[in-house]
Amino acid sequence: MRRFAVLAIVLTAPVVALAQQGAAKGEWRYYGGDAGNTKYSPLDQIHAANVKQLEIQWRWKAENFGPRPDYNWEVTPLMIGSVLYFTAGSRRDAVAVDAATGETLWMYRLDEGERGERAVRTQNRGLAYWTDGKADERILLISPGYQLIALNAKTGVPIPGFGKNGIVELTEGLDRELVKPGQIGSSSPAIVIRDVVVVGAAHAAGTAPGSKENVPGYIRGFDVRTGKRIWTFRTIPRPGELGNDTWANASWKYTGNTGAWAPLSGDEELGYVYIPVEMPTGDFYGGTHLGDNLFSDSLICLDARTGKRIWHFQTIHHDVWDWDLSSAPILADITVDGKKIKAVAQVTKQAFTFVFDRVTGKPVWPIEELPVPQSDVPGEKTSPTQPFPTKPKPFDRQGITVDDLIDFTPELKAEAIKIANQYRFGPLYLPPMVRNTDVKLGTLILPHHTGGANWPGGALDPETGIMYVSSVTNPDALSLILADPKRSDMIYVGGGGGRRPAGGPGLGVSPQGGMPRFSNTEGAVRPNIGPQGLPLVKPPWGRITAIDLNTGDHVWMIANGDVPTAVKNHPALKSVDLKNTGKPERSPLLVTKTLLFGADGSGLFNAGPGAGGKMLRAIDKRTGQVIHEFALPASTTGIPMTYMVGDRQYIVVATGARGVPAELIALAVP
Amino acid sequence: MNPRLAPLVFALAISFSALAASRSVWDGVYTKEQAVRGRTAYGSLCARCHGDALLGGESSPPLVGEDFLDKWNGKTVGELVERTRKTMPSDGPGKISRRQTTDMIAYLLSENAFPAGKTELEPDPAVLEEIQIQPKQ
Repeated sequence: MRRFAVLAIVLTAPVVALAQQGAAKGEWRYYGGDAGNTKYSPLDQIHAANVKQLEIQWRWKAENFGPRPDYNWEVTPLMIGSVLYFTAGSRRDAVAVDAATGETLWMYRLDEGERGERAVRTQNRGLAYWTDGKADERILLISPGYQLIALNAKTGVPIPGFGKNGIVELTEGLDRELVKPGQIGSSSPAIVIRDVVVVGAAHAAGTAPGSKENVPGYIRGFDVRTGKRIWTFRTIPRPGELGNDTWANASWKYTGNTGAWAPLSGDEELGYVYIPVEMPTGDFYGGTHLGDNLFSDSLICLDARTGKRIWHFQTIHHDVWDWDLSSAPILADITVDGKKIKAVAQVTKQAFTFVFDRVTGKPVWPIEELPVPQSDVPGEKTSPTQPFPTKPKPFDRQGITVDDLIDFTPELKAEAIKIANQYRFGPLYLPPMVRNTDVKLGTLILPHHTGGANWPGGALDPETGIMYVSSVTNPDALSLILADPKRSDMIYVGGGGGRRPAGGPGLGVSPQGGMPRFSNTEGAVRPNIGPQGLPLVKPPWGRITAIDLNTGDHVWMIANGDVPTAVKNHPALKSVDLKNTGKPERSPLLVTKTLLFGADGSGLFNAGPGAGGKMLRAIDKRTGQVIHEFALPASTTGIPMTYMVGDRQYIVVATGARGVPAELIALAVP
Repeated sequence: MNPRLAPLVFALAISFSALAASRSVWDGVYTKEQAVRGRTAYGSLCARCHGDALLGGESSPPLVGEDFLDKWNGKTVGELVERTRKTMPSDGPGKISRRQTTDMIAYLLSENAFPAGKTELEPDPAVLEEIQIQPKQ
């Protein structure tokens, strides 16, 4: 009976079109649920009392999509009508599936040859959808090789009147004579606002680039009906454009990146899109592009129809930490001191939450420019100040002091101090250094360059204004080395945390600190740099934080997951009873009427030992108490979504692990 | 076996093993042509993470220079080939043939300034296992 009562409520509820209200009508029309990336659905057939009954209803296997089985599937499907739409496999095929049964309805595959083979960022997170409200329904796909494709949502056939036979070339119009295969792509879907498809860009990692020259990641708007490029917003401005003077020595001419690789957000009612921009070419050395480097690391609000800048805020001036804006901005309608504000919240890798009035760009709480430590790297000039939000307070630890080092036993503490003392460490924004300066191997950075928060970002409950964000507490060591001029004109490139002195006491079994990691099938991508392979700093190593955006206050914080097995069974911790440490991975988050769904996460992307796992958790969103946790066949790799088909609410999540090809898992109560 | 031949066989075995064990990456263990083949394979299979300049990426180590050699000095080319074959590319490991992997390692050897020679690096684990990676003596 309850199920039917819920269905009746869903069917009679008014259609909510506002971006920040969550997914409407039991559907999931945008990657993040709605255009505001709340990842919220008001569905509540699955609730605290019956969540324990969740069972797998169907599984959809991605194994044979693409030339290699994908296992790190960061996808979140769309659900429109009764059909799921998503990208699958290492070739990023587009697929339509019956949302009730998992039956494949159609698939679209584009063989791009070399440009596909050499594509950067082959992760796929999903698709965008558009309809004219009548019979025209389109699915928008960005291919690994950076082409925009419009497909008929009913058939999967490219739409002839869009671009050239359904395809728009995205490497044109980037102010470069030649764009080589593998230079630019996109790992996140486009967003459609006011009939304009807005496209971001992703590039190869800038840890140690082969050149200071690269393709700029401009933001472009395309007519959703014709594919015609309507506008270009230059994230690296040319002469005469605002911000060009923030690129010294004409570095605007050759510097690239500065794209937006995270998902984009938008407000259909305002007609604005919100773009989270990354840093310029060269993650840890900016001597090749001195200046503040607008619009790097900026949240930009653009008019979706014209591409005209409405406002922007630069969260880091002249980034040398690789702290790109890495997740979708979250739109929230909040009330602060009695005043209603249409807001946008941006969580960051360095664990800040920047909150703005999304109409005007005015900070909701003051953001202060404060002095920060300065670089001593030859040729580098870091910004004397950086922006610090006065509220909300950071959602993860920033910077390192001796008090942060593990102290499970006096011996481990002593060892941790010894390791830390090989490096420079201190407050947030301590810059990278040249290896072996002042007898130090490098700089300890916390949060490190993948965060803090990263692409899973946060989720918002629009009914309460509470935002949930997941983050990791895992420092890393950074150092710069002189680039071999035969291989790179970057002068300095990231060279890891330095070589461990041979036979140093207490260091014998510590992995070498450092940034580039050997990724393999057995071990973590990112070994711990603490004593005897343990984490260097105290837990929690992974957490979920609830922040009330009406007050800016933290509501609760929980560790995400159990103690990593390698830590639990570590011989040095035999007499130590560790609990609730959380695993060093970010939880993907989904909010419903009463529940927050979280998970161990994939443990695949730059994660530490013991990261990831099979657990999916239903959490009381008011208190943070875990109501129920249960194991899926593999780790959650994507952000879960939910929808209603017929009389049932489903939760669908992408899973996979090394050696376990990617699958979608659909859950429902019987 | 003719007992009179035994000492000879034993001596030969010793000298073979000594010869094999003394081979290192400085002995011209691959050919230029093989490195060119390896470069092509590297471009399509490895470059998107490790970079065209082999300098590494976000979670991908450099494949040239001090850090790379520090990691592999004292190990064998066989270990490098097998580790690469079994774990790379990290988003779909175990699918590249030993022959193609060996070509790619020939390319890495050339990029790390180890000399080319007249014979190709053979994809035979027993042979590869005998070639030491070491600093110049």
